[in-house]
Formats: sequence, C-alpha cells, structure tokens
Amino acid sequence: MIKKGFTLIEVLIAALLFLAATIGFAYLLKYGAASVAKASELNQAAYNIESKMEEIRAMNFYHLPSLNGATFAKGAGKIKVISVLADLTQVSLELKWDPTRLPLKLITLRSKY
Amino acid sequence: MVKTRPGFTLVELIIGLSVFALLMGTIFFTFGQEINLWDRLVSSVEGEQISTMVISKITNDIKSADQIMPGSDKNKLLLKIGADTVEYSLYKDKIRRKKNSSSSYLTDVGDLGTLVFSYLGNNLVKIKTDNLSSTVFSRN
Repeated sequence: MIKKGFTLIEVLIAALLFLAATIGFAYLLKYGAASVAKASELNQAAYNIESKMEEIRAMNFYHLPSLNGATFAKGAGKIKVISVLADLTQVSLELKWDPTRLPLKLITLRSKY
Repeated sequence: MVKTRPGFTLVELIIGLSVFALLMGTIFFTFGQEINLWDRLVSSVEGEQISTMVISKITNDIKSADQIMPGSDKNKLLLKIGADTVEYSLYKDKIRRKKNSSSSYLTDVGDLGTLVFSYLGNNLVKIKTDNLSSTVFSRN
C-alpha cells in the first residue's frame, strides 16, 4: 500500500520548526525594544551630564576647586576639578549611566577671564 | 475487494487541529505582547524626540538672549533677544513661542502636556517637559 502525503511525525516536526522560527522573530523584536529603551536612557543621561555642566558654567571661577570629588545624579556622577594654570581649570564630569556600559564623560576648560 | 480509506482518521484530525491551535495560540500571544510593548515604546520615544526638539529650541533662544525678563515664572519664560521679546508657554495644550505679538507653535495638541520653568539663580533656567529636563545657563 502506497501512502501519499506526510506522516503525523513529519507534520509535528514542521510545526515545531515553524514555532521555533516565529519565537526567534519575537525575541528579535524584544531585543530591538530593549536597545531602543537603552538609547533613551543614554539620551536622558546626556541631558543630565550636560545640565550639570551648565550649572558649573554658572559658577564663579574661584569656587570650582571646591567641587572636586563631589557627586551628582544620585551618586552616579563624579566631578573632577584640576587646576591647569593659575587662571585655567579643567572640569571633568563622569556619569556611570549603566553598569554594563562605558561611562559618559564631559571635559571642559574654564578660564578666569 | 480491498477497501481503501483515503484521508485522515478522526484521531489524526483532532491531533492536527490541536497542534495547529496550540501553535497559533502561542504565536498570537507572544506577538500580541511584543506589539503592545513596541507601541508603548514607540510613543514614548516620539514624546522624547518632541521634547528634545522643544528643549533645543528654547536652549538656543536662552543662549542668545540678552536677559531673562522679570515676569518669567513657572509656566512662562520671557526672554529679551535684541529688540524682541520672546515668550515660551504652554497655551491650549500646545507649546507656543510668541515673538513680540506673533505666535508660532512648536507642538500640536497631545504632543506634550508639561512645560515648567524653574529659576535656579545665577542665570540658570531649568526646563522640564513630560519626559526630559535640562538646565541652561544664560551667559548674558
């Protein structure tokens, strides 16, 4: 007797493969969504560090050294102030916005004049 | 005479349909959840992009302003830019930039529901929208 068509096992295997492929796509979507969320966090962090720098820009030159070692963004950000010359100071901000990624850094020079 | 029976038996049909139902159920459930998540994410990213645009526009004006004018408050920012007066506020659910007496709108109804200014002293203005906040220093 010749049996044409697929056996039940074949159909089940095909269905499983199809399911695996579909779930793979679903994970891809999930991974994409996580990346977009991470990008949004990075954007927020960039605003955060830039805002802090603006606050420092508004400060008096002579008050800058007192900022050295201070933190911001609930302890995630650190401020480092180095006096380059008597009338020139370097201010660096570092924000650890994500434990698994490199921190954001913003460095500027402030002149007394 | 040998009787042939083409087609499926009832058991095969039931198993086949069950597998199909299980498969489709799983796919629709997973994709449904993913699509909901994606929709929420897309709308939040769109909101953030609009906020970025608004904050960047206001920042540019603050940077080129001669003075943050008295009369500015939580809901309204008044800037003196050259001979012009520029006012930012949330007016009828839209962000309005009013230059002297002519108004233009940066957003449409429903884009952003918050625009709050706070003044931190030393010419520092904090701009806060629904999903972003930024501090800007006006040099002049």
